[in-house]
Amino acid sequence: MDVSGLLFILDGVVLGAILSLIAVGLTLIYGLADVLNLSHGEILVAGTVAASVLLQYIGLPLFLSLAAGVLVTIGAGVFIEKVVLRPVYTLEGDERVLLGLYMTLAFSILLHGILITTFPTAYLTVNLPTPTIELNGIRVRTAQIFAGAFSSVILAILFLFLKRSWTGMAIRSLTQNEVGALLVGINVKRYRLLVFVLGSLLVALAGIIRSIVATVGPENGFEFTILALLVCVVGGIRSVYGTIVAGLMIGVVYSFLVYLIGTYLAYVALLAVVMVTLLVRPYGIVGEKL
Amino acid sequence: MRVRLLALFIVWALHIVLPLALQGVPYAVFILTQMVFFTAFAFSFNFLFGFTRQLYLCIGAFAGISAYVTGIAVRDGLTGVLEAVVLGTLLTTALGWIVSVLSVRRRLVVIFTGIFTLAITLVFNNMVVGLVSITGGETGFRIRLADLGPLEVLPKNLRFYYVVTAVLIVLTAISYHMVYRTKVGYAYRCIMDDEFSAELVGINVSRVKTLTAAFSSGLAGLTGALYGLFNQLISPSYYSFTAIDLPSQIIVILGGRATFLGPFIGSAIIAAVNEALRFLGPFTQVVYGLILLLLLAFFRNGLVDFIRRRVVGWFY
Repeated sequence: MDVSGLLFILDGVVLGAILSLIAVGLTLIYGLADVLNLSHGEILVAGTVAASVLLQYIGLPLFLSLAAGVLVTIGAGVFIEKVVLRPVYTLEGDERVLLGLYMTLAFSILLHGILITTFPTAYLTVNLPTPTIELNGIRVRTAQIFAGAFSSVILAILFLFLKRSWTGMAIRSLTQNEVGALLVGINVKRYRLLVFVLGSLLVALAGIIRSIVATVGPENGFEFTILALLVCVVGGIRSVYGTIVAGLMIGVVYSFLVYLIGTYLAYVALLAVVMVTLLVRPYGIVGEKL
Repeated sequence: MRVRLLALFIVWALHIVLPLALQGVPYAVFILTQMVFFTAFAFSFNFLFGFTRQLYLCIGAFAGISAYVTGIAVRDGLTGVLEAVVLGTLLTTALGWIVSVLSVRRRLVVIFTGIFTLAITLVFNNMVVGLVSITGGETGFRIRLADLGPLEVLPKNLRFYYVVTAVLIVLTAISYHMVYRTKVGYAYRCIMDDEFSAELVGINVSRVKTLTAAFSSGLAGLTGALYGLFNQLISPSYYSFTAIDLPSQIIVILGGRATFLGPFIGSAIIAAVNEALRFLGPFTQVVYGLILLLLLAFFRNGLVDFIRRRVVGWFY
């Protein structure tokens, strides 16, 4: 395969890493709070819209705008946890999942409406001052390599955090068995808030990395949510490791499919894969329900 | 209960009489027709989710598939109008039945059925937009006004209104009789109360669920085909998630989840709210999200349940 094939793999890996970042937040929130957060993509867009508005109309320097965007996303996540999902925590099991799904769906519609009508032109593109180098006659944007490296580092740190640190282990114990964790003395409410903050932080960073590679606009929210949901389903909706692996796989496969059969049919093929996975292994490629 | 039946009769009577009274105001008749179409969609969702807890997020897609099949058949002159509608309905019945069999066979939890059907909706949207040569892509295609035989005496709005209302009344009457007056309906009510116990008692839950799914998907398909013929324009935006599924769900939640009156009442309220909020323009989406949030937080069981608990108590 020629060098352009390598470019597609790079594209795919970067897209996959971004999808993994978004999907991991979704998985953590579902594992801990039993809530399928359908507004995950919207809060990503809320962050990028905030950053874009600060950057373009108020003229703050890039780093401050991005930081403010991240804070806006985290704020939205905390708002969802504290206000939107309050009626949900009184329910258990299937009822909680359904109501959480509907509440977050309603909130995402609300947020989408607000963003589209108030800031219809708030597009975020981060242009890194890195060169475009030539390798064997193919132009490679080092910004993409940087984006890929950045997201891999974040994923690695996340993985180590969950595996080694005390807080990470507490989070994992809560996803495995909430009552058991309570008995051991872990404060469920505090860790729920922490997981929402963590998920929102990851999604905000994913948004920033995405804006390095492509432009993020206020209408892209639902698309991110759907893609993250698809990654979660394939990777196992309770497994962080499976989600990361599935994200990278789907990113690469999707990029190749887009090259082969065009965007719409590639999306259809991806959806077909997800539907088959749901039927054959509902708990993802990792396997058992954790 | 006799009150329930009486209320249903009143609603049916209103449905038959109202457009005749408002015949002088064509816009009002148009709104009433839209309302009746969405009542039918809401019934489809109600039977699936309210009665048997199968979260089908693809009602719009089923309606769209039926509409496109009907539209293409009529546009290219493959079959007559009636045959095309029947074909579309049969196709969606089969699809809905297959999806239900797969979910029940694999014992998918409610949320996975939801994700599966959401994937179906996305597949429908993307395929319709992608296969531009057949479907006309995002813009869709137009079809000529269909010949509805003996109903030609009425103006166009009223024709479709009465077709859909007739379908609704017949189906609701049959279902009501079945659910509340027969042994099969008794088993049905057992499943509604507690699925696990019903299975233990010996009721064939999977057969009931799949048959309900087939019936509801058929209803969605029939309504979708009629909707396509009514609009005379078949494009993906008419059958998207936000155009059909979301209002149906709001109507069902507002009206009452597992009731027969619910979709009628909910649809009437939503039609009124839609018109009242038309001045907002692009802000309607914000208001709908807010309404849905408030409904879910405070009014989860719907209007019929509220009336049953609070208001009926005053009379006894």
